[in-house]
Amino acid sequence: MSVPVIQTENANLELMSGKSMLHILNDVTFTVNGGEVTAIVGPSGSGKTSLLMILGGLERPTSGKVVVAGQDISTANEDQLAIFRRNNLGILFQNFHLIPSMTALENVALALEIAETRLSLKEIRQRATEALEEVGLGDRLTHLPSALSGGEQQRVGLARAMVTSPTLMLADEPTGNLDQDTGARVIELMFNLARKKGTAVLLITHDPNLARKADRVLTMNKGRLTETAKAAVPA
Amino acid sequence: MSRLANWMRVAITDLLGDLRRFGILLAALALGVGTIAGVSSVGAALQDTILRNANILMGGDLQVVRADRRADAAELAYITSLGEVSETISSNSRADAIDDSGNTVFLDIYAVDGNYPLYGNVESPQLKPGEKPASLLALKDGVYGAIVDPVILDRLGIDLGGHFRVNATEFEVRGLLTSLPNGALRGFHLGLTALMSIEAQQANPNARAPLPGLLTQYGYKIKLAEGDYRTQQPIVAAHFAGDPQWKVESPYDAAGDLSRFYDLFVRFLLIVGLSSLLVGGIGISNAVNAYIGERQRAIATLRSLGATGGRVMVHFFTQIGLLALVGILIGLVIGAVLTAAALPVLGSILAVELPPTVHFPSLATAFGFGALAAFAFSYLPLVNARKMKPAMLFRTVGTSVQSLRAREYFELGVVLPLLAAALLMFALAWWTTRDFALVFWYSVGVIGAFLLLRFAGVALQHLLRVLPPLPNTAWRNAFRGIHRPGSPAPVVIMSLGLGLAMLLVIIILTANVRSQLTGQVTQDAPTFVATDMFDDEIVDLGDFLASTGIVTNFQHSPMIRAAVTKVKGVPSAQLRDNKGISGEAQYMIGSQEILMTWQADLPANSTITAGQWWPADYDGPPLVSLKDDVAKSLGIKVGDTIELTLFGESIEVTVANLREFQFQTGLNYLVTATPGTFDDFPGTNLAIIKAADGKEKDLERALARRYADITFIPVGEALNQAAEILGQLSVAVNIVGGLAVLNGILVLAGTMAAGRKQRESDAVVNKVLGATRGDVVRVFSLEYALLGIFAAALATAVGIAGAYMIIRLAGLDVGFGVDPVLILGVLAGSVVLTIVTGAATTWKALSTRPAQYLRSLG
Repeated sequence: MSVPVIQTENANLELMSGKSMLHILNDVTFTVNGGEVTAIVGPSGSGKTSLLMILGGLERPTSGKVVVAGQDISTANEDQLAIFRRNNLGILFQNFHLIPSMTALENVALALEIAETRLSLKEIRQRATEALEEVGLGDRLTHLPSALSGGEQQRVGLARAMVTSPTLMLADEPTGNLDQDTGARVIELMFNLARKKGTAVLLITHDPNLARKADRVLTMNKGRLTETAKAAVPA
Repeated sequence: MSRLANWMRVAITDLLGDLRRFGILLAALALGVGTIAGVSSVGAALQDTILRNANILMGGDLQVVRADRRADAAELAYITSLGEVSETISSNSRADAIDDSGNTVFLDIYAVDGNYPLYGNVESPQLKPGEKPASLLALKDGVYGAIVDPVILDRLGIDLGGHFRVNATEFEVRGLLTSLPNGALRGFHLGLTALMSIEAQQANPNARAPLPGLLTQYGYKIKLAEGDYRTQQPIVAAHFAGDPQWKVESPYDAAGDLSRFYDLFVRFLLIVGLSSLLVGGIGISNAVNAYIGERQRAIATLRSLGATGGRVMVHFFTQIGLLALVGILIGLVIGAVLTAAALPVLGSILAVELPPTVHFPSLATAFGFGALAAFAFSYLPLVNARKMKPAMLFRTVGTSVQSLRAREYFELGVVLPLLAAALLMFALAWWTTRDFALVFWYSVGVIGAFLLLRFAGVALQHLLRVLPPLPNTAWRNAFRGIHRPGSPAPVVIMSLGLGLAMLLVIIILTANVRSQLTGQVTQDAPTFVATDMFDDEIVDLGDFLASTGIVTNFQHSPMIRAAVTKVKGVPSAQLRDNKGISGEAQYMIGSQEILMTWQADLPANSTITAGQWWPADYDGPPLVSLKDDVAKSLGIKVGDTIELTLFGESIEVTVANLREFQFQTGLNYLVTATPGTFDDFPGTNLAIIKAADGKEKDLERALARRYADITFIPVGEALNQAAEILGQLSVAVNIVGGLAVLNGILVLAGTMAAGRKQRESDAVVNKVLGATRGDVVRVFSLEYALLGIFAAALATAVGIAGAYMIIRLAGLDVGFGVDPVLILGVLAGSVVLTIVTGAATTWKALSTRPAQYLRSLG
């Protein structure tokens, strides 16, 4: 039996908006196993991204338990969470969040510099180059993000997320800013890389076609998460 | 027009919702303008007061002075024919307590006749307002009256009404002196002031000056019956033309030196104020740049909705213009308040009445400087806003700011307004200081420093870019942070460098002026000097001083008084009118005798700069050694001759060598001759004595008891008094310097604001990738330490060069030295400040949960 990578129990998130309290996540309880690709679908504002933020240690749940890669992150402090991320996670954002002043190679190498402190610069560069070659950007190593297309920027983001061979990849609508073909290619790459490295993927998407490619589909609605049969995902 | 008004209205509405961010802009302008307004107002008030009250400050409409004797009957008849006359005599002497306490004090004697003062009043609690002092000074029951500085009572251990002696003449203290109307123009004097009658002074047989330079001055102040100094001065000067000993001075001549001194002081402060505004300008530029940068998406949105570049320019120009106006007005209020507060204090220090007033022309000047600086430093960011392209809305390249392309800087529309503003500032500075050379060289210096720092930043980036990547991650990332595209490093280097350079200029100048005038002198100066001591007295004095156990230094050397009457065959009298001759050289060739010595060995603490010292057993024609700078000022070289006159005889001596030395560091004379030169004349000795710290008064009493006939001049005390006055004046320099430093810190904060958004964004991405707060802050700290050290190193070079140039060009007659401890302290402080400011601006972003930032970054 596979070890769970994500285990949450009654995770709740409440945020202040002006003077009123918003209940973003409601008793979210679910499990994702190692190497499993899980898609979360749901309408805008339903709490998908907030759940991903909590799982990435970027947001703290108001209550409940969140265990990721065997570590309870609901009580960890900021620095413990940073170390947790570098050791276990890869994150892919809709808006890429590349550092604009760094080349594609430097952006990918940065993740290794932070996570793999024992590696020499040469090894870091070697592995970053390989990661970019794997996503088809071997000829774009020295380009700044501003010189890359959206699809290329997202592939740099993917290389950066995967270069450390994480246990879990969190992807927040990674194709949201890309056209259908480019998006499909990025997803293809992501799934292939994840399967090759045995990385579990939690994918947030609006795209039903994309969701159907996952092993499992969960639906988020008004902060509540429910399991959905793949066949039931609307076309 | 209504469209423009509408645009402006929208701009103001937009601004009101975002006012907090402009604190730095407002503060930088307010401080710069406030400094200029304060400094120029105080300067103007000082000049006005000196010139408006010149006749009070001098004590007459005209005065005739000489140093060797009183006017004879014919001269006096002529002088009194011009109007009402008051005779004064300035001299020095020692006063002793009548009792056997041994208490003694060195007096600055100001002897006056019954008409004194012709203008103004002697201030004393014992005098009714407007009452002349003569009534208190007259001879009563065989005792003369005196009005004295209250400290004299403490020194002599007596009270008002008590008695003291000056040689054989007895005085009664009948009044305490608060101030003399002409006190400010009497300048530096040795000893504590005692006002007495001419008769009393003349009754004192000790008419000889106790030290060369302490000349007795015989003055006749004239309240003209007809005309004024403009018509009468040439007539009186022509009358006395046959006797060059007489000097005829108008109040403006007398006030001239004082006025020129304060003028220089004020010009120096004004330049500091202007520097403060220029450095503040960098802060303004950074703040506006940061603002435009953060608004670039809004600008692009406006442009994509059809707003013209002009519309965008008007929008932001209105906002910045309005803010600048507020900043300048705050500055003017600060300047006016500073002036009103400073004038009475300064007046009391300088013994001039300076009522608290507001000088509107100075405020107008400061307004002009502020408006021009605000325009010049915000214009480029505003042009940038005008030229922003809406296309950036469609790119996702992070938060970096679009900037002008290199060729866009040279477009006429960009260059001309900036050039006009720079020229107007130059003209205003010239008009204010009335010193073209100073403003010209200052501008060259500022532009040179600006270019140096700007290009040094770019060069550093280039160097770091081409260097192979370092193996250490933190160092590598810090280097990358400096040379990466869009890095604020060049701006940080320029802002910090300029601010720091200016701070160093101020610190170095202040330290040099202070150490020249006070520091070294008071440290090394002897406590007492005595002249004309016979050989047996010197031996006895040596034994006596050794027995007291409170003397740390006693030196003596032979001395003789002689005048330098010819230089290279030319009579000294013909050389004295040459304005190019330095003050010390003028003194050497003056009409009076100066102290000279003879010596076989090279005096300690002096260095030969030309020629050779004579052999110890030299027995040839008379040779002399001269002080290097004095000889150079007179054009004297080794091998030239000078003529010395003493006891009515003249001897010609050849210059054997020139030496550099400081009087404070030992017994040194302007003229030192070979042994045997003065054998035919009766020489005496000069002694210098330094008392142990805190034992000065004990030694003074002991010497007075033992050597009743010898005057020991308390030079250390006089120098301490001078140091105190200069110390008080330097408070003004420190306040202005402090304001400049504050502006520098604001600039630094503004610079950090320029790249804050990008830095925060990068920091959050690093954190998402797993970097701890410590990791990120370490890299930022390293980056800012490198920037700080680099800027500090450049600023040190620029600051030292700037201070050196100002000392040379502004003609400040001080030496040049740099205190490495002080400089290192300032530099270390600035580097730490840079690191702390840089790290602090990032810490907030790092301490917040990343989700919040990621949401706001979109």
